[in-house]
Amino acid sequence: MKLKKFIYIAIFCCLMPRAWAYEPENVPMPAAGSLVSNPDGILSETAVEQINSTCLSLYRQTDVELAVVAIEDMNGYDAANFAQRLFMHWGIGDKQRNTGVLILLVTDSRDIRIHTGGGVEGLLPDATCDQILSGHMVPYLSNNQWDEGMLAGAQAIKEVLCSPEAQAELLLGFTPADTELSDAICVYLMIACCILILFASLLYRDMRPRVGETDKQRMQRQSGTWQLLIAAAIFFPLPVCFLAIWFYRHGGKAISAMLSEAAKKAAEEERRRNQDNPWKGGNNGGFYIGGFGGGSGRSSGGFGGGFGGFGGGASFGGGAGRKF
Amino acid sequence: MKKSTLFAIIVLALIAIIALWGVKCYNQFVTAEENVETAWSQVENQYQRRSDLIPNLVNTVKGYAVHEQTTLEQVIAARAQATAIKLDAAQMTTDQIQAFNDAQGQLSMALGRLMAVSEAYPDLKANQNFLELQAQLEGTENRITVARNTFNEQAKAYNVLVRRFPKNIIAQMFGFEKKPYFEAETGAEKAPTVEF
Repeated sequence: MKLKKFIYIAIFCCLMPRAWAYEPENVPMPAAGSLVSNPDGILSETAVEQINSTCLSLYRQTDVELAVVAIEDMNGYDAANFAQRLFMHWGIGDKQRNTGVLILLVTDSRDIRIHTGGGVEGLLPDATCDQILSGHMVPYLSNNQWDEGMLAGAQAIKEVLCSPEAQAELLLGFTPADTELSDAICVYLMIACCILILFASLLYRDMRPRVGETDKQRMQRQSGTWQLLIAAAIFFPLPVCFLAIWFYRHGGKAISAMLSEAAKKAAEEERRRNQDNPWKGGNNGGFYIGGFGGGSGRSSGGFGGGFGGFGGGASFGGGAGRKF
Repeated sequence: MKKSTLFAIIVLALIAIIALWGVKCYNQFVTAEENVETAWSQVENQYQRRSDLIPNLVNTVKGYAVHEQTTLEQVIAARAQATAIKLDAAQMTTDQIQAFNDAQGQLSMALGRLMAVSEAYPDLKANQNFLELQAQLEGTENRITVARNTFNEQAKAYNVLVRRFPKNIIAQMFGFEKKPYFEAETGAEKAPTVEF
């Protein structure tokens, strides 16, 4: 009975149109193609559209991501702390240049904050943010005119960032992400080089026929080297391939003929042995080629088109906040 | 396959794997240490930014609040003490970071008092220059908090990396030691709250 009652209450609570006390991590992200998050319906639909088109136009002109968030309750957080954590959680702005701005409105605690990413601190210093707050936003917000206040704020920020000098500065540092060979591959290649040298010397020593040696003796002597080479080919396919190519290209006809003959004989020998013992397969695998060399590419975020989600920018806590 | 050959292959493979793992660990440590040092320089930058604001602030307040000589002097003295301490992120100790923290905390307290007394001067509060400085100071306090948190996170991540088995073996081999971080905030470290 108690459980049933509890479930009823829980369902009732869920259905009740009450504001959610948000943590920075569970503020709903703006819908796709939008930069405005208005989960509690504080802003009217027209205002959301107007603000969003302001943000998008700013984004197209300067690549700055201006996110606008209006919520009722932030669960007793300090506005600066909440804004910082929300900023980092969403990753507002370009990842390399940290060109993001967040406007956070919390109606219950009557907090308004403009939080700036690391890359726009120079263009939007704290004092400028404070001026935008006190000059454009607080006059509306203190009368509970949320739509007008937030739109005025977004437009003021756009105005500052879209001045020709500001645009030039913002687009100056636009560099595509560089790709680099990963460390693991470097280490692999280093080890492979050592293996290559080792095997080259081994081959050189073992593959020469000795005076007064029968074919069978030579085969026996060389079989160990071949097995090692095959094992190495499995672990390090590239250097062994390289070694083989090198031998065929530069080793002269004599060596290549000798090698191919030896290989043929070794293969025959192996086949014969495998026939004797059907369980012992796989030794004659030859060179293992492939399975290596996948590219590591990273597509850089779109630019100039529609807005496709936040870019992963960071803030160092800049900006200004006020109670109104 | 001959036994000795098999043995050689296993040893070879083992050496390759251990070498790869060791290199990977070492690189992780270097990256983590670099992150800690970057985070620390960010902390110092932000504190520096605050102390750069102070002369201007003191001069502005001086013009209006003539009776607050002692408060102003306290701020100047605390600033001098705080800027005297410079730490090297590569080898700092818990004591050093504590001393740094205390000195900056003293400055925060002195600044808090200064902001509190300036409430009593309406002319000062209307001064455009003062308002800007106030906004900048608040922003800087926020940045300091963020930088300190980032530093603590990085230092903790580094410490976990360096002290966990079995990577601690590699860490000890190459002399990667535990890094200190800011202990829980003392009362002095709270940003001066400026109410309107």
